[in-house]
Amino acid sequence: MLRYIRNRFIAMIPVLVGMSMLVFVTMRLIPGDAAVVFLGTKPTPEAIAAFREKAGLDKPMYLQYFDWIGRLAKGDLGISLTTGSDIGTELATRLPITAELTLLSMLVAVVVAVPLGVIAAIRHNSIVDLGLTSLGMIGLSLPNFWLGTLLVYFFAIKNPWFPPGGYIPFSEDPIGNLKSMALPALSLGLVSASVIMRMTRSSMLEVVRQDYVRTAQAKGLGQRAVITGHLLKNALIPVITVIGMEFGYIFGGAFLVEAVFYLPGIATYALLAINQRDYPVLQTIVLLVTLVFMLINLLVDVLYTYLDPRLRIG
Amino acid sequence: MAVSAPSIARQARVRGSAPIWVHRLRGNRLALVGGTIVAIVVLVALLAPVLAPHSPYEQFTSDQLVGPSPTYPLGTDEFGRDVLSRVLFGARISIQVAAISVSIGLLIGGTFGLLAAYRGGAWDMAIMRVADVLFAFPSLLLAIAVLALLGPSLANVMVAIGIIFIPIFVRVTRAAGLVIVNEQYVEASRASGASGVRIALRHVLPNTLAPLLVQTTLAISYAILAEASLSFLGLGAQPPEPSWGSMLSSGRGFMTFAPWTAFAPGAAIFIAILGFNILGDGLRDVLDPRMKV
Repeated sequence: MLRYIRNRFIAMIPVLVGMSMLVFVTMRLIPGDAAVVFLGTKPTPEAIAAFREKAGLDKPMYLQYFDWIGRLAKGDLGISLTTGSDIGTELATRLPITAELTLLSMLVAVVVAVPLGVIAAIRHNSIVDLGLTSLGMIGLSLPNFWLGTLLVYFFAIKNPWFPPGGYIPFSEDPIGNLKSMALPALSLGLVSASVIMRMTRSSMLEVVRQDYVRTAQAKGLGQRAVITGHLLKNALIPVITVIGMEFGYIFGGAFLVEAVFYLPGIATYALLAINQRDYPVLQTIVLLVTLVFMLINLLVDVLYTYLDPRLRIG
Repeated sequence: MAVSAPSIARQARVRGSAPIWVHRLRGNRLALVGGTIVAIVVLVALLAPVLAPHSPYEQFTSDQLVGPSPTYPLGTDEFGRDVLSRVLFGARISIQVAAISVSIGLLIGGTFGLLAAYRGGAWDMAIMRVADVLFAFPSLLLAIAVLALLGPSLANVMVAIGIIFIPIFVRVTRAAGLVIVNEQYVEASRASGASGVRIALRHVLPNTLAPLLVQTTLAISYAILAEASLSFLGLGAQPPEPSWGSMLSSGRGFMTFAPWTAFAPGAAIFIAILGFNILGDGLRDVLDPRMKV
C-alpha cells in the first residue's frame, strides 16, 4: 500500500512539472502589460523599467520560471502585482472559505445522494424509483448559478431566512457562518447529489445481481444486513470515484457560486486577478487548484484500493 | 432455388447494426422525450427571428423592467428590452457555441485518439500524456485560464470549451479504437495492403461512432452549461449580446422587484441542458447496452 502511494506520488511529478510550465508560459502570453496595469495609464519609461526589474520581468523567461519554482519550493508564493500584498497571506484568508464551501457542498451531496440512490435501487422499477431518477435528471441539468439565484429569491428575498450573500467567519459567529454558507452549499451540493445518486443507484443494481448477494439472502440474513454488509461496501467503489470527480466539479462551480453569493474565496480572487492581469496571483491559484485536484484523485485511488483489495497489485 | 438479391440485402439489413439501433431508438422513451426537447431548442434557435415578437436589442425606454404582459410575454429588462425575444435569440448563441466547440473537440480529439489507437507505441504514449495534463485541470478552470489568455469574447469561449473536450474525445476514441484495431477484419484489411489512413477511416472510425455519438450529445449539454457559466462570469458574450448566462447575471441585480429577468434565461439554460442530457441517456441505453441498468 505504501509503495503504491509512493509510486503514485512519483507519477504526479512529471504532470505537475508539465502543468507548471504550461501555466507559466500561458500567463506570460496574456495580452496587456502588467506594468501598465500596475503603474496607471501613463507611466514613464523609467518607471516601467524599474517595475520590470523589481518584478523580475527583465530576465529571460526560463530564468523567471526557475526563480518562481525555487521560491515556490521555499513556500514563497510571491507578491500580487496590483495590490503588492503577499499572495500567501491572501490565500491563507481566502482558502478556508473555498475549502469550507467545497466540504459543506460535498457533505450535502453525499448525505442526500447515497441514501436516495440506495432507496431507488431497492425499489427498482417502482414509482419511487421513477420519481427519484427523474429528480436526478432534473438536478443534473440545473446550472448551479441558477439554482443559487432561485434559492436566494425564495429563501433570502421572499422569506428572509438566510442572508442573500456575504461571508461571516466561523470564529466570529458559528451559527451566522453556517447560515451564510447554507444556500451556497445547497446550490453546489444538490447538483452533485444528482450525479452521485445516479451512480449509487446503478452501482447498487449491478451488485444486487451478484451471486454472493443471493448467498447472503439464502443463508437467511435480513434485508438490512444484506444491504449494509454486502451490497453497500461493494457498490461504493464506483460511487467513490464519482465523488472524487465531483470534487473537481465543485471546485469549478465555486467560481460561479462565490460570484452568486459574494463569498471572498479563492475563486473570487482568481476572477479579480484575471480582470487585472495579475498573473503571479493567477498562476499560483491555477497551480494550487490543480495540485489539490490531483491529490484528491490520488486519495480516491488509495481509497478504492483499500475497499477493493484486487486493485492493489500493479 | 436461387434466393433473390434484394431479399439477401433485406436480411443483411435486418442483421446489420444500424437499422437495429435505429429501431431500438424509436422504442426508447428517453431518447424520444430528449430528442423532442432538443428539436424544439434547435428550432427556436433557427426560427428566432420569426418567433421573437421584438428585436432582442430594441430598447423600449418607457417600458423598463415591466412585468409579463401580452406585449412582453416574459417582461422587459433594465433597458426595456423584451426578455422573451432575448431568450429566443439566446438559443442561437448557445447552440452555435455548442456546435462549434464540440466540433473542435471532436475533430482534434478524435483524430489524435484514432492516431493513438492505431499507431500505438511512442505516439500513443505522447498523445496520452498530453491528454493527461489537459485532463488534470478541472474543466471550468481550464476554460477560464484559456479565456484569461485570449480575452473575453464569444469566439474565444468556443475555443476554450473546445479545448476542454479534446482530452475527453481523445480517450473515448482511443478506447473504442483499441478494441477494434485488434479485430480480425482490421488485420485482414491490413494484410490485403490497405493503408493506415484507409483502415482508420473505413474500419476503426465507423465502429467508434456509437460511443462518440453518446459522448457528443453529453458534450453539447456541457458546452451549453459552460457557455452560460462563462458568460455569467463576464468572460464570454459581451453586452448587448443576448447570451442566457449574461442575461441571468445582469437580471440578478433586479431580482427583488423584477425576478423574471433572472428566471427566464435560467429556465432556458435548464431546459436546453435537460433535453440533451435525456437524449444522451437514451442514446446510451440503446447504443451501449452494457451501461444500461
